[in-house]
Amino acid sequence: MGTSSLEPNLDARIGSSTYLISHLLDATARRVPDRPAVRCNGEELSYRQLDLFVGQLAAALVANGVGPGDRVGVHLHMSIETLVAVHGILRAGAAFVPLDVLSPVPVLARIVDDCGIVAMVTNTNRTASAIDLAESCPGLDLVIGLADSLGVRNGGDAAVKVVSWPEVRELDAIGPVKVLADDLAYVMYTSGSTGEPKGIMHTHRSGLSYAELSADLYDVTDEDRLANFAPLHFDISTFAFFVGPATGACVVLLSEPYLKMPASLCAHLVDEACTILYTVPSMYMQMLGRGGAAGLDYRSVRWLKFGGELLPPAAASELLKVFPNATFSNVYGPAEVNQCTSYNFDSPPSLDAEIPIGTAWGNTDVRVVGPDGHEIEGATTGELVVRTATMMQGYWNRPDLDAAVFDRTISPGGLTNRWFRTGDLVEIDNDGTLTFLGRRDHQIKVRGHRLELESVESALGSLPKVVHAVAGIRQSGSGDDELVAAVVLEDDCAVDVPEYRRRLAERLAPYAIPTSIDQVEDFPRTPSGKIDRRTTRLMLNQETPSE
Amino acid sequence: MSNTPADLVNRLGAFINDEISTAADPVSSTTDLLLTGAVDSLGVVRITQWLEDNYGTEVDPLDVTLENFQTIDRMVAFVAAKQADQTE
Repeated sequence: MGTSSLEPNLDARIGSSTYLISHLLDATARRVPDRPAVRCNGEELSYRQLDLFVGQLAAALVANGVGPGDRVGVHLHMSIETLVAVHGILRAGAAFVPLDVLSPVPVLARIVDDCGIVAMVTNTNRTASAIDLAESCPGLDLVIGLADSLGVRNGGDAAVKVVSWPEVRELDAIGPVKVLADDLAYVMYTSGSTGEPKGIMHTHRSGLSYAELSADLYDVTDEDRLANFAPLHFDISTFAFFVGPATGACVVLLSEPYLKMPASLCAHLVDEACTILYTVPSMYMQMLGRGGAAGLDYRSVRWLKFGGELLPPAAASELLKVFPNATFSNVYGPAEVNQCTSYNFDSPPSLDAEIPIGTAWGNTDVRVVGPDGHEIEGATTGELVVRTATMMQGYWNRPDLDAAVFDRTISPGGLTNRWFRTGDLVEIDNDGTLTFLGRRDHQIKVRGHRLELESVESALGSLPKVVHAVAGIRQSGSGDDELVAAVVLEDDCAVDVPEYRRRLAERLAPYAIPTSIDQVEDFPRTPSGKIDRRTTRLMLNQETPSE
Repeated sequence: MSNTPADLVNRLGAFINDEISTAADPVSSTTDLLLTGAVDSLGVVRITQWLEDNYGTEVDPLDVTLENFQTIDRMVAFVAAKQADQTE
């Protein structure tokens, strides 16, 4: 591991300069120690209590040799410990890497190996998968959060050090370990086109810029209560996780059961008096539909943020009635750049057009370019490229992917700027307002999760008897879009859906497993005899559900 | 179709294990279906549809709550209460 000194190199800042994400909690805990910092499942911590817990976790990590540059996994159901883990890891000078609790162990093991994760923070309700992971990843030699009596081994010999939460709580808290603004703060993994993990590297500078620009644009104060719907591996989570400690607002973490039960969720948001909501459009549509949101009093909500997918204008109009005091914000930004544009409105949008993604926020510039990467004089549509303080450093260990997404411009004097090619096609109008048109590739969103259809097709293609597979989306209109697939099998074979879904679950995250797998004789073909995926996907979209 | 609670536990368990769950281990009548990855939000919708189709139980979306749907046992208790209401 990076440093193994028992005397951490603590950050001796003078005055109030803030250049690390870890400085946010540090300053807020001194300013408003008694304000509520986080609430989840009926538990609450004040900023003083959160700061203590975070300092104790950082102490546990440092005492066991974790330090600047190290990567530490977070494998937790949404809970107070999730927020503690993020800030405790940052305070130890290390970088956090979300490890989705719903992903199968082999998928997580590839991330642990790819990213060289040395330690993991988890909880006893993840004991089985945490042990599986530790045993299959020789580089992982510290697990925090399991019962201390477990004798976990990896690689067949070396014992994995286990520290329990009660042991963490006995330690003396430490302050931030010194790292610099350009050092690694977190790595967010998404799936690439063949399903291999792809890690997005953010520094303290890009994460802190995101927190500060968000706090500014949404005017967040310590009176606010930020509802977090997103699991940690979904970049929407960084809003509440960073902006809460940046401003002294209370972070209301919604645990998984609420997110599956719109009626319980809708009531809970009222009980918690949340003031800023941020989630995917499909969640709001479920709240409007099965959640019964229209019958509840949401006057406390002053910002309703959505992103990751399109919200139909008619649904926006309906939501405006349910949230009478809220300004709506259509947020745009791939995980590689956090947020970069937004379109804010508080009256019903035009029903004839998509809701725009708006204009760039602070410290951000956008250009619309043609296929060769150059701006086209007079053109109003093209690929969106972005230069912003909230941009990632690059993909973990993937210079090939970096080369494909970064453009460089050189100004007089040799100053070089990097631009991120989003892969998103947009239209720009006369006053610079952008509207999302579609993707350049086959990346799609399933209830907000970014997914490449090719990765699903490649997993289907590896199943026994499958000759060809095509995956697509079936839109329901109620926010319950389904991922569906059709397969061509070897002669005289029949599809065994339960068995196929079990096998896919070993390779894919739950949202990437098709809800239906239909057997077909053959797919539509292009004139050259290749599978016509575009037509097949349109057919999948138009089919009616088989139930 | 037999309508005893034990039958419903078995049939609902078979439906969830075969059609809905992607969890490695089979779910039991007391497994927390929502905290584990066994059932996602779409799975909840399909379970309510299945209850309506197979047991003639009208399920009001506002009744689809943590209290009523966290485990198979709770769903069965919910259906029993609904059927008692309907026969009154």
